[in-house]
Amino acid sequence: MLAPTTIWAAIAAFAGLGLLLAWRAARANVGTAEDYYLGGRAFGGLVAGLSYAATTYSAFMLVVLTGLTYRGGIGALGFELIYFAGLGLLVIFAPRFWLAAKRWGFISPAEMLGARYGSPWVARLAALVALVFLMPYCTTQMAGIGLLLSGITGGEITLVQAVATGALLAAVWTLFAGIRSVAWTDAVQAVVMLGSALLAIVFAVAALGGWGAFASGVAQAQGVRLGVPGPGLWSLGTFVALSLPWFFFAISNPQVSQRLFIVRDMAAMRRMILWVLGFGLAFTLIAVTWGFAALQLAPGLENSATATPALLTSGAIPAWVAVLLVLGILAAAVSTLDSIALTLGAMVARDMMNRAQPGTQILAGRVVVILVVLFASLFAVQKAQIVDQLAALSAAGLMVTVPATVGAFFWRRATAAGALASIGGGALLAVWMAMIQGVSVFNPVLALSVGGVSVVLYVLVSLVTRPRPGALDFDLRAELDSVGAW
Amino acid sequence: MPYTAPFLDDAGWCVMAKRGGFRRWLAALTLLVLAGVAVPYGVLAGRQDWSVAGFWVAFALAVVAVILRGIRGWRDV
Repeated sequence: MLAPTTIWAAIAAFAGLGLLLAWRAARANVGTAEDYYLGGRAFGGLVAGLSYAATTYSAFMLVVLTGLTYRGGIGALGFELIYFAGLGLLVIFAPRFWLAAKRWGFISPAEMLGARYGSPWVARLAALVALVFLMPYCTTQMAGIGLLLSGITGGEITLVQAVATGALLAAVWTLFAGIRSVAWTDAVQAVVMLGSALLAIVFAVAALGGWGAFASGVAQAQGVRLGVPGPGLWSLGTFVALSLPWFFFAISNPQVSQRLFIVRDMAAMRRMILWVLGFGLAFTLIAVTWGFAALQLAPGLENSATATPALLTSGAIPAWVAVLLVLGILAAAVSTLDSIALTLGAMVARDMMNRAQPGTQILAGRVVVILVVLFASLFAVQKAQIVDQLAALSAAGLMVTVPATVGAFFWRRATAAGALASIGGGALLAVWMAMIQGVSVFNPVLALSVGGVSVVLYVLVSLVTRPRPGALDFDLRAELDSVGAW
Repeated sequence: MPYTAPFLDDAGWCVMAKRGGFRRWLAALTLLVLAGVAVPYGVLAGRQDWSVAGFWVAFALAVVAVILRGIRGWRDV
């Protein structure tokens, strides 16, 4: 076990550095909604890329993905890499999101959809779906922090203390200066995440006798976990069920698609994508290797989600490296949590209070940030089953915005009614199937049905209705040609 | 320069760039993603060595290469 005082001291130092960054960021703010939520659309590729990476690669990686590797083997790598391949969607959509947001002044992805279809209700529904599925996802980040801190200290840091720590960091870093403090702290947190994880994996593999011994040890003792379906978890159906919604993550999850609005130019956009690719590939390989190392150094765990705490306290990892990795995982959770909270704040401010003054929109966003963090904290402590179900459903649930997002750029005939039917019908189906009919997120019928119904509703309803007079035509061809995008 | 748009404007679809390469690029990404599922669950099914892991690492590098190809032409005005 690690001493709680050591952990608290490390967290205090980390929080101090974050506060300094947030305070510095606040001095750059000019008080407009665009500046608070998008940093004046002036971010360079490095900060934007690391912020994107820290937002998308959450505590999920070194808690859940590691656990999935521990339980089911190499299929976890393939699942995460299908998500990684989904970053290819950025080649098509990143320039379009950026150009449209710049031309029409969009701040949230839902606002963009609402303007495209000429209906504030499309924006409101997209924002509501994001709230319903992302707030429970925030709860899992909090729960991850709790699991980790209590696990490595043998319960001496309680779940409530751990959750309160994560909540305080996320709230303060968001409230200070909006996206500027979130992105700057995200960038530092990304470095901490990757650096600490790299160090930890080096020590774990060294404890097993080096890379050769590690590889042969896995092949001999855990050979079944090197194949698919492995010991049973990664059947083809499960693989498709999990991978399909995650493939569309880059355009379905507003906390990352909003990052496409913040870069200053296409060179910064390109650098942002390069940083995300490099970070994502390295972090994925580390998380899966970490799971295989845990199988050898901490075998026989009943709950695979405790693989990381068990490995950190196995004696194989020096205490200072373990403390660094704890900070890394805390950073991963907080960076995802504060980004989601800020994006949800932007959506409520812009899509539900679109007629309010800029100052009111910033204030409303700050209130939403506090509410999201409080919600996540409360339900992480309560461990409510309904929240766990919605969190597991988040990827499939948010997938319902994909048809309307793709069609916004590629199908002029698409209508607001089609978008509303697609988003609303798909989301209702997802909730009904998962929470009333009890269809598991591991069952491909769920993702395929939700995605299929969402597409069919979008097309059919659009064909029998007419575009609204106020709908925007996202005719960006000339701008796309000028920046060299397809 | 040949017209390579996969979507037809007169049917209400927005057009893609008039410079070539998009269709091939999209086909490459699609085939790659399909291979990312089909190869481990087909050709390599049941293997209990590092071959599936090796395939997926190669798959990831190929994804990076395809994305790099896609963003290669981006420029600022």
